[in-house]
Amino acid sequence: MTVDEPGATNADGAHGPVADPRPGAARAEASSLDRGGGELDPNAEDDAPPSDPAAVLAMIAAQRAATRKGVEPNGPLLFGTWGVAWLIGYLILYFTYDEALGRAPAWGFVVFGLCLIAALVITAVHVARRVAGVRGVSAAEGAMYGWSWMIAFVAACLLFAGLSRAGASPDVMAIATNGVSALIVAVMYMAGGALWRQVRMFALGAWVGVVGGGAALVAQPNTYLVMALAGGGGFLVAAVGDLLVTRRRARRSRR
Amino acid sequence: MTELELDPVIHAQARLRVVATLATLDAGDRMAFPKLQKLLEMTAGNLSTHLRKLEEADYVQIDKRFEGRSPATYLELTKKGRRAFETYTETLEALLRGAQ
Repeated sequence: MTVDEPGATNADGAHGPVADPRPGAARAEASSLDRGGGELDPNAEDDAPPSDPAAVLAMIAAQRAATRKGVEPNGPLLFGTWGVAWLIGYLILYFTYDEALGRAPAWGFVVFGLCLIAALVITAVHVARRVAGVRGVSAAEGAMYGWSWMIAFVAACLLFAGLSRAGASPDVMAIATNGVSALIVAVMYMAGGALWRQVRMFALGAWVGVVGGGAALVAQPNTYLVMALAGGGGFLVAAVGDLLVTRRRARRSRR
Repeated sequence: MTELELDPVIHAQARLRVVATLATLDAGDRMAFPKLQKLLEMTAGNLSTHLRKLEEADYVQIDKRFEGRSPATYLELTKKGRRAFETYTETLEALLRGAQ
């Protein structure tokens, strides 16, 4: 088959819109490949794509963009979720800091923990929904990446327990818990950026590494202020940046 | 100027969209039938028909398996299918350049 000159009609004259639910096709819905049935839709026709190559390429690009949206996690949503969780959580630790205790009170840590758990649940549900229905190499990569987070944080908790048992002061504990957690986030984001060739994800990881290291050098409770503003703020900047780049790209491809 | 041939298996709107969707996945990844159907907004019967044609051309591999007790169908672009899609888009780009 050849493509005619732009504007010419195809042999069967079909020029349907891109998403073309064909009439009569719904009847065959009950029996499908998926349900193991062999019945096919006798009305499924071979509608030729638009005869203009540019229109066909645009149709392909639109389909690929829709597919990516359906299978890849939404960067701005995840960055934004963690940005808000860090901003609120660390600000609470900062404002409830008790000089006498040398740390925030227990309820401050509970609220901080709830912020992180909420962000974790949103992330897990969102990622699980997006990657559901796709199996193979990338699912295996994603599973290994997910387990890396889990194992790193479980190991970090054991390390914190060990430090506490060895008599670490509240100040040392604050530096260790903050620094190690930020380091894990930084390394995992940089690794994820490398794995999926996501430059903004990599840059965010690098930034969190710098912030986490820097926060260890300032006196308490300023560590938490640095984590809230520079750390949480960094996530929010990444979310906005990601959103702007995605929007601009979508606008350009529509032209 | 020689006329550039477009692959008749892919040069049908529905099948082109199926192949474009599966080609967006990394090589070695497969997609469940309901997910593919949702992304394409096609009826199950219609999609099945086109998948059968793509399977006959050895462009798509249809993998039926059991996940627990329920049957699941996964679709994957074969190497031949991926190459055919690349050739198809390259031909379109060549036609576009020729038209300018």
